[in-house]
Amino acid sequence: MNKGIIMEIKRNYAITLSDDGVMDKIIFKQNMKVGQKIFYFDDDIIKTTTSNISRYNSFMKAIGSIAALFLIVFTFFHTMRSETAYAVVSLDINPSIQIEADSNLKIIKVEGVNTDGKNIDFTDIKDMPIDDGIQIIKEKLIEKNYLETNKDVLVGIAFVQNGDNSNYEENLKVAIQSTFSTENVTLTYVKGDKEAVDEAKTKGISLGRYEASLKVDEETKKKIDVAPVKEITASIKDKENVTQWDAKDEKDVKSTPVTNPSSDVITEKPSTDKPVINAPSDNKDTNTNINKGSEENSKPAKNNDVLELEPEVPAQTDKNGTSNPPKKDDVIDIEPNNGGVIQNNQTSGKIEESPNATQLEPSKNQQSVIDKVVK
Amino acid sequence: MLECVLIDLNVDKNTNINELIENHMPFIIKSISDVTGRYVSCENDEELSVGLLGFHEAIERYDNEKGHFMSFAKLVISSRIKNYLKGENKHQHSSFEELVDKGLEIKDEYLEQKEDNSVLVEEINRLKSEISSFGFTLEDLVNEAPKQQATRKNAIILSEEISKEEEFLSFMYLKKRLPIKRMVLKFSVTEKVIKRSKKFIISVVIIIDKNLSALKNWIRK
Repeated sequence: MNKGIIMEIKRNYAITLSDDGVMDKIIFKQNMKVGQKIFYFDDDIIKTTTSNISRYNSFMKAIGSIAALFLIVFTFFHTMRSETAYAVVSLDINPSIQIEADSNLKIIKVEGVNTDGKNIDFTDIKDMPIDDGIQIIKEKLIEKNYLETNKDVLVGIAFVQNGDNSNYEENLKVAIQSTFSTENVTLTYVKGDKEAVDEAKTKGISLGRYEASLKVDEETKKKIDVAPVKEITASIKDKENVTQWDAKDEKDVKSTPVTNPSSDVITEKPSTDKPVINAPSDNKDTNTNINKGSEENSKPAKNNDVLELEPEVPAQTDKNGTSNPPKKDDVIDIEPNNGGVIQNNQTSGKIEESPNATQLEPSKNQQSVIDKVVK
Repeated sequence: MLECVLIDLNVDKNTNINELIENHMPFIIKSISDVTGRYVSCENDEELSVGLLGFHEAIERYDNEKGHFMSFAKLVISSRIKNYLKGENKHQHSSFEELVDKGLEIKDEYLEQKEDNSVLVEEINRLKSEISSFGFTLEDLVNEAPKQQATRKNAIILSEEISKEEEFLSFMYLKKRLPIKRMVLKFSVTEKVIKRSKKFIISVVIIIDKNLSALKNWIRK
């Protein structure tokens, strides 16, 4: 028991000066007054050191638990995010291998699709950059002599997410080509989409084979899951949306002009020399086919019509001071002639006019027409 | 009865009732404080008198069949205090006189004469303002004042020495710190001792020098 004078009163405690000169913090009780002499017990003394320690401890606990929470949440999110594949790449040589990569070209998952593929252990490739991963896959294939017997590789590429993937695709192809360039093989690319990936999965075949199955004839289609890759690639290499790349004549292929502008895959890549034949394929292809078909149809037709006009095109633009394409010749006529002439004879007028434009002065021609109208 | 209490508490049979009360003063005060929820004041507090009466009553009424004396006494004291708190405003009678009637003697230590607090309060405020000019508060004193009684005593003696030296005082008030080097030479104490309790020493010097008599008496007691 202590006797003390209350020196100072705070909200939760008071400071006392005990009769032997010790200052103590005591817990607050009612009816305290500064200067009051009171009895107090050791129970009432607030142990400052211990309370400091406990406060520090609780603070550390809070910080620790928050940090732990963050750790849990972030690791969870991290695994969640990396699980979502961004691109799917399938390689068919004889073992069919399917690779799933995330948006940073990192491999998430590698699996063999057919029995040969399943016999190869790919677990060490997970979480690697895709170019290194493919390099290792290649080494594994060489080790098992798959690349000795099969010189054809069917590559299927699909993007799970929509958006601009051309850059990514470029990187993928560079990775694949640089890896297989040493092995003297022929790569055949087919491109699919998310539905194709799912479809291929349900059928138990690789993406590349599935895409190929949409393009090949009925006979090969039936045995698409077992057909040799060489056969498949041979049958689809002329088809729409298929790119072929040969390690042997890489340079030659690259130098040949690109003949079919239909797909973006081909425009930037070495492509087949042969003209593209519009083959029946899935709906994705028909879109491009329609576009291409209409373009091609209109082009020759126009060429026939405009055949004679073509040399005059620059002259015409000079004459009228406008840069309208030759297709809209009739419109150009309307302007100076107030529309009168065209109704009479569109085509003949045009044909007549165009030689005039080059040989005679345009003003005279126009005047004569105006005279006609006046008469 | 007292005999039963003495048996129960296992103390010397010749113990006087006043000695018994004296020995159990902390217990009585604690019991009162528990009931009222306040600190028990030292200055002629009615509650303390009531508590003492309750304790006395407990001794009178106790026999060995009623369990332990301490719990019984606590019960009696708390019920007496409750009664007192209820009837506090109704009848004003000095229970201190009642104590005297019953032949109980209470030491002065517990019953100080009620004095005017204003002087003390003023002194406390002066001390606070003085030490705040030295850059610390009472709270710092709580944390840094020497805990050992011997060190404290030494520090108080040292402070008294300092307050006699005009030179040191003027230095202290001017520089707002202790002239430690010169103190070491003059009083042949180690620097460590001074540094450890410098705030305490400064406070005591202020109390002595400014002649805050109420606080001075309190500490020196």
